[in-house]
Amino acid sequence: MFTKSVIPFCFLLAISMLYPESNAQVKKEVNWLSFDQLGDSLNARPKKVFIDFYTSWCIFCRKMDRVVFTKPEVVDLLNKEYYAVRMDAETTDTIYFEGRPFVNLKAGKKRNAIHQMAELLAQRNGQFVPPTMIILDPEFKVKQRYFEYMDSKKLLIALRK
Amino acid sequence: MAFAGVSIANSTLGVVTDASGAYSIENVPVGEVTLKVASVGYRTFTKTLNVKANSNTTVDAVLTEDLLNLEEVVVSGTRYELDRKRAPVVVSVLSNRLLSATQSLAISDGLNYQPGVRVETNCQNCGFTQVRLNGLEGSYSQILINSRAVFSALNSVYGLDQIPTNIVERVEVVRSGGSALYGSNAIAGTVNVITREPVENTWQIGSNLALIDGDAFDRTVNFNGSIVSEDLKSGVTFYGMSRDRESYDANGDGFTELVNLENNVFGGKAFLKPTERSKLSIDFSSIQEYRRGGDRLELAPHFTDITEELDHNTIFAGLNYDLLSKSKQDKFSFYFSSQVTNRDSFYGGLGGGRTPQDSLLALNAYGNTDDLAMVTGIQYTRNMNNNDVLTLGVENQFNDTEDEIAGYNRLVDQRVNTIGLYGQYEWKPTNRLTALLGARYDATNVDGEYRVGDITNASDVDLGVFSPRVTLLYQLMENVQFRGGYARGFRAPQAFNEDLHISSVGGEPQFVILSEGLDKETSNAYTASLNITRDFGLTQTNFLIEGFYTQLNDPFVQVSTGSVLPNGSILEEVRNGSGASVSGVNFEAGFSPSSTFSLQLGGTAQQAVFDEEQVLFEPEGMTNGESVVVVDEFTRNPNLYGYFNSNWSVTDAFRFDFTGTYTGSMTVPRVISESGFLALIESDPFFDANIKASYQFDISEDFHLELSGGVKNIFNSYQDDFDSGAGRDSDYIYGPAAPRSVFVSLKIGHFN
Repeated sequence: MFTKSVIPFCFLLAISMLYPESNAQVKKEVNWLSFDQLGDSLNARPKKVFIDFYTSWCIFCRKMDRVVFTKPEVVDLLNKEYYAVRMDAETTDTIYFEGRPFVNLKAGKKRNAIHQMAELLAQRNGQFVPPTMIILDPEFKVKQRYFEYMDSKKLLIALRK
Repeated sequence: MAFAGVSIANSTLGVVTDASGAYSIENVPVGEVTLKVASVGYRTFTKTLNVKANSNTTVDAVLTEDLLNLEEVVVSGTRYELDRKRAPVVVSVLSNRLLSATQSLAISDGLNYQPGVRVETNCQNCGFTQVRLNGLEGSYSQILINSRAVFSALNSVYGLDQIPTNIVERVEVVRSGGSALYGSNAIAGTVNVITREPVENTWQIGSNLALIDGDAFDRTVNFNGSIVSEDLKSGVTFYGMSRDRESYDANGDGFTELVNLENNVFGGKAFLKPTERSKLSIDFSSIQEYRRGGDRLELAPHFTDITEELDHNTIFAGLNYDLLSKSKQDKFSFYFSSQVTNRDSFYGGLGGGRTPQDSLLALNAYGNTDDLAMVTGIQYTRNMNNNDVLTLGVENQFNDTEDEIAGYNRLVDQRVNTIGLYGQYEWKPTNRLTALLGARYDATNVDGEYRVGDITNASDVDLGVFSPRVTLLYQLMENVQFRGGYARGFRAPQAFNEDLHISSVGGEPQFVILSEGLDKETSNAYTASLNITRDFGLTQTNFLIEGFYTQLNDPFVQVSTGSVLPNGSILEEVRNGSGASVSGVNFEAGFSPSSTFSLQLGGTAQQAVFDEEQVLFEPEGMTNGESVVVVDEFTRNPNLYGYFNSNWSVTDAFRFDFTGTYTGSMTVPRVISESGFLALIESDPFFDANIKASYQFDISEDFHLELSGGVKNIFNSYQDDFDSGAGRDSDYIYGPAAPRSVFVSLKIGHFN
């Protein structure tokens, strides 16, 4: 009798330890915008912009998603003072920004095809290496670009500049 | 022009022009700067400006369309199936992905999938394996773990079976001793096992069940996981494997062809970055392995006809500290690695006889081995302002082996210490040419005593050998590279893997002893290669052809002396043989029309010949018309062998792998009389092909499940002329490691 009830209990306990989020309260998240939404938002109410370019295979990007962009201080600051935009640099979607279409010109022609938007904003010396993060002022002028993994400490310093 | 990228070269300053095409950049550094304006489909506009303090400069740019040649974006190469290396040495990389495609449990299972590399099994009683590079035996290569030579002479006997593949990030193979950073005994090359460097928090647990020829089960459970702090300044990765493979008897004679293997491995690796410019890492692993082959495995070894039983207890530990200077141009590395093995052995048995003398001999075949290896070193690397790199280092390698079987009066008691000093300069005189100019000096001391029965030989040698090494890379065209190299190497007269292994012939043990006055062996190795990499849109292709020529002077050769010890044992002696040369061609070709399909194949056509006829058996006196046995080619070495691997991702979740190896025919010696007299057998060629299908279920972002199954050696291409019974030659085994086997495997965890 005893073991019969203990085993499922232990199992549940183990599962809940693996997924602490599932039984905790709803977590605060960054309100990520797409480029399409960003144009409208900027026109309606200018604000600083934070853009994160990632790719599906970039493990440092994934790490940032899981542990940096989930930190309450980071979430609060991004939501309060910034329009936060995320973009898969290899997406094949057409993006409309300020009424102009941006496409992935290299899709289907080459591996790891980088979207036009990432080419324009996120390249350093002709190369795109994720993660790349860009901070822009409310006039959409580039203030600073970061081409490496940033922990929450470094990111907060960059966002507060 | 709207939305063009405007940037200042060599800085992080940059803006995008607005819808009207206007832009402005603030805080541009004073002095000469280069302004770049780029937009897709247009040629990049550049202009050099002289910026003065507190001033405004206006630059109007007119972009011209780039109709013919879009300025290509080069993306970080990490994800490409086909890697373009800029190293002057050809480095073949065996990825973890390929080890998984071939369902390799231990490293010995997967190494065949590189040109010039072949793993062979050498004993039916104990499953001793060794890796041959360009046809040269295991003792000509150096096995490194994270670039450290902790694999001792003893580890090289069974160690390849003991390293589980779930700890491996990749295996790098360098054929021919190309770089001065590696030890001088790396004549045929180096096999460098690189373990995982974690970034994310991950874990996985897996299990594999295989059935060999419908008869013997091979069960494995493994796990690994890693935790890395958010700032990436500290982390740990840990792993473990437990394997139990039943013994397998191919010809029904009651004697094993595949040994019973029980293997437990666990270990971990932790790192800490105390500052931005330093990194400390510590690793350890523990290997416990039991293996037994022969007959009647359920009895105590001394009641059986033949048993080889080994119980290993090995611990590896290592420490590494890297320190970068403020300018990040200078790097110091300090490292220490050690390996301790204690092993209990039984090599012997009744050998088919039932006399009291047989029983007594069997009872005395228990032995014990202690082995200690330590590597200590300091390395300094400087990145020059002109991108040249200077590397200087000193390394001490120490190996102490004591292997004793009192009953046979058998002893190997050996200490080898090598101090190596090396320097290497990576010189880039032009954009097209890179040269690695290096040399090393090794001072080796061997102090060994080797005894079998009433024969005792000793080796007390002090050697100082200078080995220059040069390789160069010339960029013929953007995607065509030529490489060439020369390396000198040597091997000190010392007992190495096969010399520490005891086989059985005619029901009696066969020993190897180093001959008196054994001199060092030296080598000169030359390589030249051409590598072409081309992308045609989504299609990626890669082709490598490499010629090699290695000349061996006074090579160590095992010669069967025909002398039989009073207790009936056969004796082989390691002597300096006839000069020899190994030459041939390796090739590798890759083709991948899209990211869902890839095919790679490679192979080797070679010959390995002695300058003069080499004696393998010399009879003692005239016995039964047995005459001298000579060869002019290396035995157990096919002139043609190769591999292929293909992967098809039907969907993101469903994957299909088809892989295989080809082993051409070769000459295999087989002992056919109790004196050790040999017959030379021409083997059949083998084609060992595997299929595997796997499906991944993404249950949640953090929880995945992968199911896979397949067949290894689907055509059951396996040796069919095994010797049988108590009197068999246990070394007469060649070709694929196992017959057809079916496997299923399950993996759960947080992996991607």
